[in-house]
Amino acid sequence: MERRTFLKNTAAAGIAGGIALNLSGVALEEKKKAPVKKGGYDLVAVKGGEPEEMFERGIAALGGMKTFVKPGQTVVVKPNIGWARTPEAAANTNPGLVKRIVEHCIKAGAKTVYVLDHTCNAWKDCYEKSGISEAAQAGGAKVVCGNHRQDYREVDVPEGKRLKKTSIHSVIMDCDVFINVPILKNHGGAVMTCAMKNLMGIVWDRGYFHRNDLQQCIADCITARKPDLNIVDAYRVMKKGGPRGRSLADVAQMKYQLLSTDIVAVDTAASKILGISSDRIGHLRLGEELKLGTMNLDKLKVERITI
Amino acid sequence: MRKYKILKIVRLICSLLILLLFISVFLLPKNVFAAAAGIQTVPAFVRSTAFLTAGTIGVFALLVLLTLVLGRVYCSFFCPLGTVQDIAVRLARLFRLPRGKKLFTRNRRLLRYSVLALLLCSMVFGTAILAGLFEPFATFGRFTAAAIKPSFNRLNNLLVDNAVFASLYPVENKPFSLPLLLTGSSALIAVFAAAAFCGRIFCNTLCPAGAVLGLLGMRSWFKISFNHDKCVKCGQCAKACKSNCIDLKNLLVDHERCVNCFNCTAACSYGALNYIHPSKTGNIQPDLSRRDFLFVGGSALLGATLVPRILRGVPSPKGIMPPGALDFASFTSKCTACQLCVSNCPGRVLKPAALQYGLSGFLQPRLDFNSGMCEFECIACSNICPNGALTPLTVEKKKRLQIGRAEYFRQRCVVVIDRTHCGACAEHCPTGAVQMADWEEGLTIPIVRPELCIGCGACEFICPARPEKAIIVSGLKKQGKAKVGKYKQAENHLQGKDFPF
Repeated sequence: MERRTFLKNTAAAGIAGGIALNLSGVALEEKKKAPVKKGGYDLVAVKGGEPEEMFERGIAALGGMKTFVKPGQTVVVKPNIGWARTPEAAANTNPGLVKRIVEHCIKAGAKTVYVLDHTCNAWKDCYEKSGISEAAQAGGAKVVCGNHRQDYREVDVPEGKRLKKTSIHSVIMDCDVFINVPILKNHGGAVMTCAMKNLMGIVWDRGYFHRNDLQQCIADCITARKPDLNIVDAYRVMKKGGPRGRSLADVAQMKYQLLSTDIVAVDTAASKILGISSDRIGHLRLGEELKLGTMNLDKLKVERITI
Repeated sequence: MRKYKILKIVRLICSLLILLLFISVFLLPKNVFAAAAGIQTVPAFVRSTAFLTAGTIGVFALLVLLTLVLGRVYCSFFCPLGTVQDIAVRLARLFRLPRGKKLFTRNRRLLRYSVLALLLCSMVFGTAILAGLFEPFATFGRFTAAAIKPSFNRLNNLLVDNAVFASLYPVENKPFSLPLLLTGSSALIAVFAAAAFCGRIFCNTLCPAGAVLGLLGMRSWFKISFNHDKCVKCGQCAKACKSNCIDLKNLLVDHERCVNCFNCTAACSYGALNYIHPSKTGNIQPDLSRRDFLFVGGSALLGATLVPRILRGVPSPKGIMPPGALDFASFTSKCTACQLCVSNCPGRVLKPAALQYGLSGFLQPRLDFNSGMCEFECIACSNICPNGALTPLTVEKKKRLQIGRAEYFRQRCVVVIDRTHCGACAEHCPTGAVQMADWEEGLTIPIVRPELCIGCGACEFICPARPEKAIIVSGLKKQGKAKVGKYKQAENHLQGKDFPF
């Protein structure tokens, strides 16, 4: 066995301890030199690294951010900023990940990158406590309020079954590229919240969803503005007590990240990380019926990266 | 005299800055000056009786001491309602409005002391709202909250919507309250109009702070006094006086009503009025007669017995007190309904009560879960209350403070009626008191664990059921302590395993 292959293998096996850490560092250097296969994947799954690092590897596998963002375009990055809780509580998307995504968008030539969410708690508290406001601004994004009625615009949802009309934030309706950055969580009402459920944060009247078949409305709403890319933060995962969470005990460190243009596929893969059957999550099946994507991961070209 | 002109200008600048500061305390949340509300006379007094600590008593003692040394400077320098009246006087003189014929009016001691006795006793015996309706800071607060704040917010949002300043962000207006608008604006209009025609008449007849400070002010060390040798009785001083308290005939100043605005000393061209420690002072008004004393005593009795009975506080499930109120009786006897907490609530949940607390609780803050929910880690209201009607809380304490209790009504729940998923209530519950449990057809319905519920109303606010919500929080007469749920640490079930797909 060559020295180089040996090092790679040891790193991949993930032997613990200082030597292994050192070796994996070497291996990383080696890998950077190796040619990276770009594009062509339907779903990229990364595990074992920090959120920023996993994103770097994941987006590279999709051909880089320039595949999605062209110079001069307006981009919306929509994380989950629903709750006035700290990053450790895993109720909101990881701020470091949001920052790195924003940086990539700007490097790809984006004119403006907006970051927003229609929060559940008081929006200023959510933006501050989650660390996302600060991180996104440091990355060069324009952080805007998602709790202002006047910023929402009524749109038709012609493909919707229960949701025929809804009000969506104008910034999202007007943008060129829409990047959905949910955090994976258990959800008391919708069973799981991930990429599809995260888009309830772009509408004004969520009560309507709850009154008119939540699962169907979640799926319907996405037909109004399908995200161009979904990046699932599953670094820290709220496995119970979601979506708000009650204590840090609800959170397990899983160190996963998923990237895909297929919102149903990315959620199906996420449900397996959360450890629940995708059949239990009504909006996945309904999303498939609305041709938003597929629940059959076997049909897809999946890239799996372990750091 | 030049030095007195400077003193007057200092008073002008100081009072205007303090007025702006107090307006800002109502307009801008998380204001660094918010604690300044504690220096207002009535709040400082009520707070000292609420907490009985060296700090709270010290603040009130300092106000007393200040008045005993310098006279009623509070009324001219620090009282925002005083400054509002000065603006009215200024405008009236600018537009040459007619004013009362007499430049020196009678000291209406009997009226003043009777009002004071009534208000003070009604407060001591259980209801603060009557005192609150006459108290200058609360009067100013209600007007600011009812009229200035909504206009300010609307202007702010107009600028935001038209992208005038990039750094501005939209703010939500507080829920509209007709009782607040009517009470707040009518009281201010009345005081403003009275001031335009009769100067500081409110301060010297109805204001409880003015009555107390007047009693101290007439005994102050420094006083504005006449130099008989220099005075030519030109009357410029009496014309400039806002309190109508200069007796030109006898060359005396009624120090009980003098608010130390230094208008007279600045107006005098002969140096005949000085701010000094006088060697002897003439008594300007006869003391109260025995009959008067009986009258004041009578109104005190009325305040102690009948008023608290008529303006009775009635705790009800709809009257949910802000966190830190702790006990209904103590809350309703200390809150003067200044609206500072309502204005500083980051959400829309705090609202002036109509009659949810009974008459005594008129305009006192209550939580309305139709318009908002109490943020889990927010302690804004309890920590800003200048009266001590709300006890300051730490975030840790607040997170366990039970202000109400949720109850689930299954027959109204959308899961049960429509057979669809919901779970909005459990989704928003911060303590785990509302959790979804398996029901029929793979659906889940909430169960409430009352011992964990703090009554924040997140569940009720978000509940989509209409017309009646399916989960309702009721207020408590006494705020209690909730238990904290114990939860097992979640595990990474994929540890050391390959991708699960």
